[in-house]
Amino acid sequence: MPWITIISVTVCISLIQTTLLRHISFLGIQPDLFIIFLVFHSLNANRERSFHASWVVGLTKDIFSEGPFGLNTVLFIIAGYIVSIIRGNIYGRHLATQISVTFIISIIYNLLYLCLLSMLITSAGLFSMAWECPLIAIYNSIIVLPVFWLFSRFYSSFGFPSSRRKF
Amino acid sequence: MRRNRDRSTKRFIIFVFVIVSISLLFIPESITNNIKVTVASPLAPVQKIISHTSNFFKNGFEKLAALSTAVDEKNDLGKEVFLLKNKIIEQQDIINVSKKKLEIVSEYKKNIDDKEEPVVADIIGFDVSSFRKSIIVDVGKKQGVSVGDVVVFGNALVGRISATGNSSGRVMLITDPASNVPSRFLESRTRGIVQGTADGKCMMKYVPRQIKVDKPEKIISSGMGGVFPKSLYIGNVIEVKQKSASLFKDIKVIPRIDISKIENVLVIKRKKEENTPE
Repeated sequence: MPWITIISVTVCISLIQTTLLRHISFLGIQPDLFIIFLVFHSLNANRERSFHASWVVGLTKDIFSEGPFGLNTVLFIIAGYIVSIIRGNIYGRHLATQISVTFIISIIYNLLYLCLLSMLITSAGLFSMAWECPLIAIYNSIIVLPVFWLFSRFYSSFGFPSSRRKF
Repeated sequence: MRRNRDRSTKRFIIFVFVIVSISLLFIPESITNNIKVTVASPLAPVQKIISHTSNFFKNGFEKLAALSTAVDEKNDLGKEVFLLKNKIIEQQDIINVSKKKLEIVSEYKKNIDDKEEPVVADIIGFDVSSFRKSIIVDVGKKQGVSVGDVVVFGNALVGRISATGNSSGRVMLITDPASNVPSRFLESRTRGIVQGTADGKCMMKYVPRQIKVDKPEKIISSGMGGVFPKSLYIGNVIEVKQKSASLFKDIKVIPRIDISKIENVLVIKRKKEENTPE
């Protein structure tokens, strides 16, 4: 059942990310719901489930993105692993924690992606795009509250343990 | 004992997943593009519906916002039209001469265009990555579209097809970092390569430092390499930089087409050559 939930949520995120989010882009920057879902799941699930979610979410992002297949999969596994390591030492239910973890993971993921992409594509402009990484992270952090609430409602409506308990 | 066995089984499964993920990076691009489009194809009808609905509401809101400024704009436009009409009459003689020349050029171009068949495609999705620029269109192999077909809008270059599914396809835009378009300046005819920079603009590279470049200079495709047809409008120069030790200029180009403002594109299909071995 958890696999079906993860895949369903990921498919919905893909549809929203490819069709609707461009309408709320600012300076060409739009939020990354994949990263937000990854952080949500990794803060609320054990390491094994977090790994499965990271893999599925990364693979889905690879399918709907131009570029090397598997790059997002590997990066999302790394990001999910980082969150699952620090999960035990932080209080994941507090809004400040959710916002700061999302911000940090967004920056790490985007910087790593940019580095790997500039190695694969020799383009002069890619490193000059590093200024977008904190902006994307800020935009992700701003929408953490409503998005996390939606995800937790979705999980509870399917009869899974509510956000008060870990799953 | 059993707990240890379960734990080691889980660790083995995680290890296999990691190895599979890393090995995905080494699969050839032609295979991965086919996999991506094939897996994403079932969602294309849903993307199309959501896209059309969101465009409908967006256009509606824009019309409502425009109503308030419509009256003043109408007066200003009226004055402008009056002045322009006068100018047109002055230029009538030059227009007649240019028209004759254009007829000759069009006749020539018609023969080249016989090889190409255009098909209109709706834009149904955008790339989910912040640093890659591609769009998903609702035409694919069923409509005769193939990888490498050029995508235009109003005779301006948009990109080329990078992957095709049965009834959807992915278009790599000219603003994608992996896109390289052989191009030239319209006036000076100097050649270069237009490469995307992932921020919605492009850079024209390999223009020698001694070439004089003016800011509003227009850039068109040169047709070199046979991938993109020649004379397609790419964009305008907005910034020219010259680093002291560099052999080439850094020229920033703004694409003619803003992809966020259009809803459909034209895919130029290449007619298959007769007697081509399959």
